[in-house]
Amino acid sequence: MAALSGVAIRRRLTTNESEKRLVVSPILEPSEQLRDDQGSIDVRLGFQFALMVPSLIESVDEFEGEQPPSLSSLYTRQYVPFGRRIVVHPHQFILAATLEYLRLPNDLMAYVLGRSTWGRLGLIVATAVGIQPNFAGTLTLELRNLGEAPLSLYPGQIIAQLFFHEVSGAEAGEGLGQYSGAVELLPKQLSPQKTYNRIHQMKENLAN
Amino acid sequence: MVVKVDRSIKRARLAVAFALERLRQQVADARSKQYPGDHIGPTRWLNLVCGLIDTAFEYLNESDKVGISTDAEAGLITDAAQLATESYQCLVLMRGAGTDELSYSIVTPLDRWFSQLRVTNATFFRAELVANYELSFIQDRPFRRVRNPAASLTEALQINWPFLRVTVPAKAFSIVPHLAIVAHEIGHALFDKVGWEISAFVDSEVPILTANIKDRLAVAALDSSTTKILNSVFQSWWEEFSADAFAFYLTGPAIFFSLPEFFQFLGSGYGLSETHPANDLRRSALFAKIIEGGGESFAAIFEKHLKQNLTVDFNSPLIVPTPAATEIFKDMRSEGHSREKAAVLAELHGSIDKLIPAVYRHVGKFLEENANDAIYLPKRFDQDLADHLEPLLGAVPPIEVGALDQGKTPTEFASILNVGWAALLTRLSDLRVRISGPDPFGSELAERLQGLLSKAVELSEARRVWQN
Repeated sequence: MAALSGVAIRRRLTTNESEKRLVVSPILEPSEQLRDDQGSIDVRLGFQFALMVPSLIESVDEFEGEQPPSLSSLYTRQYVPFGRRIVVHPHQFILAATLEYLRLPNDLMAYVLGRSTWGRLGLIVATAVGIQPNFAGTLTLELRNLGEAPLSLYPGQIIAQLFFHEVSGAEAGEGLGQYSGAVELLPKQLSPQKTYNRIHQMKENLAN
Repeated sequence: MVVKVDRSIKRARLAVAFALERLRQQVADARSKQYPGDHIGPTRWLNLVCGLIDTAFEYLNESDKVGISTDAEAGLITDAAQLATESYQCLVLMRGAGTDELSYSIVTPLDRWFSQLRVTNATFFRAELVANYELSFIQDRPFRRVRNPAASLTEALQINWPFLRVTVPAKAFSIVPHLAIVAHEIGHALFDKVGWEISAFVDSEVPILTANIKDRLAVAALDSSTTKILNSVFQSWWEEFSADAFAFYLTGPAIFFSLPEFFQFLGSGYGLSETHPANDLRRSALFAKIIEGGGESFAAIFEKHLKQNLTVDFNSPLIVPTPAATEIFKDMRSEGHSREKAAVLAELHGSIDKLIPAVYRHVGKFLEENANDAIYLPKRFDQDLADHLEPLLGAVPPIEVGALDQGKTPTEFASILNVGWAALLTRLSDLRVRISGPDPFGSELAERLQGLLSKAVELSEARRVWQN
């Protein structure tokens, strides 16, 4: 599984073969975000944010109640346009969308990592770092300020970088894959349905 | 501080002051809200409300002056109460203008249509939880009649009137491709600016029309009240066709798909009323423009890319055909209209189609002279489908066009609408996104398409802002 160089990333972004094409859109300043001598592409902070409102619940427990809880009820949304800012206070946790829309072909996967400049200020950018082949959507970043000072973040700032790897064994272009992922910032449910059903059943059995 | 209330007139003053203070608080809350696109319109409207409240407080101050007569005191308090009521009504008018009802990104491209067409009136957008698109003209006369206005009110009035309020459906009814209908609403704002010349219609058709109405009513001459009805209905229908024409030139096929589908959704019979001509007539007028130009028409390009023949009822087969004049007359009578009005509606329907080509021609000429770049042409449609349709089906929103290193340009809003319609109506099952389970009607795929189109609007605007 080889990592893509800057040149290879560029080639993937501009290829006419749609099944091989990597989409990162819009790349507002290609000369800053994509350099041939680097092995990554920089992505920017988008406009949509979600802030957790933990005080309204006892705990996040997907097996409490008959149905999986709506996780979106844990958050308030905030839309921050260009020129405005959102402040991440020490130890605060927020979700943020990348500005760029991303679509990976079925033979590429990616990792999203924070930039070291932000890291040195205490900002952790992503905890769920892997992006699967055939992903399509904006990335949701999990931002946490581990530093001591509040950090003002502006949409459009470069916030993270994506590293791409070829997936061995993938049959590029074989059929046309279905793209997963979404433009929705908030999570829907924690467990896949079968897992949820099994654990819920076991919990019910113990209670009875 | 203790407020001493010892007279009933003071209690009345307190009640008004209390209400005004509540309103002031509500305005402060409204000011702290976020409005789509950070549009200036809501702020201007709130300035007006503030001006009314300030004026009302000044009335209360005046009423409390030493030596004022009881009658004058009561009059000022009454006037202040009336201004409080008007302020509240103004706040109600802008309900639904915030980002909780209307997505942040959508207003900017809609507003761009206004500026491209040089509509400089103060404007705000708001969403309503009903299937309704509407343009309201709010006149300044009532505000200018306010006696001794506060400085803040005088200042707030220094805008281009009438104030325009654009209503679109909120959330559940808000489907991106349908937003082409806003272009129709903008057309209403421009009706008076088009250099109309319809004497040919008046000379040739009006005598026939009046003769038909006379026959229908079995009278020798039309009385003044029937003539007034005729003038009023004619004016309304003319304006509707004009607004349709604006929407056609601004959005091309998107309005042909949007408007009839919306009529169908409303299920309003055949749609003919005092204010609106029949649905199928409006649809036919749009369709005639869609097929105009033969091999270079929108219809031909649609067929070239999508391998489907565009027909007049392509996505609106449930529109009820308008019956013959006698049937219309009966229907209008059974709906409670007077004989005169029913006769006007029935007979005008048969004549108005002769006016339509002139309406479209004049609107087209107006746009060529004033906002040529805003016209959506078949060539553009061809390029949009070539650039964006297949990528969209592969889950890539139509955000931008061009090469990476030569500089990309943001996709126009009308292009997003048209590519969206093409995908929705002809290729939805080819949309390569994963869905949760069986989707017998395609509703989940349509919802995913809506997400992609919304993202296209947001990010094409982001690119535009960044470049500017």
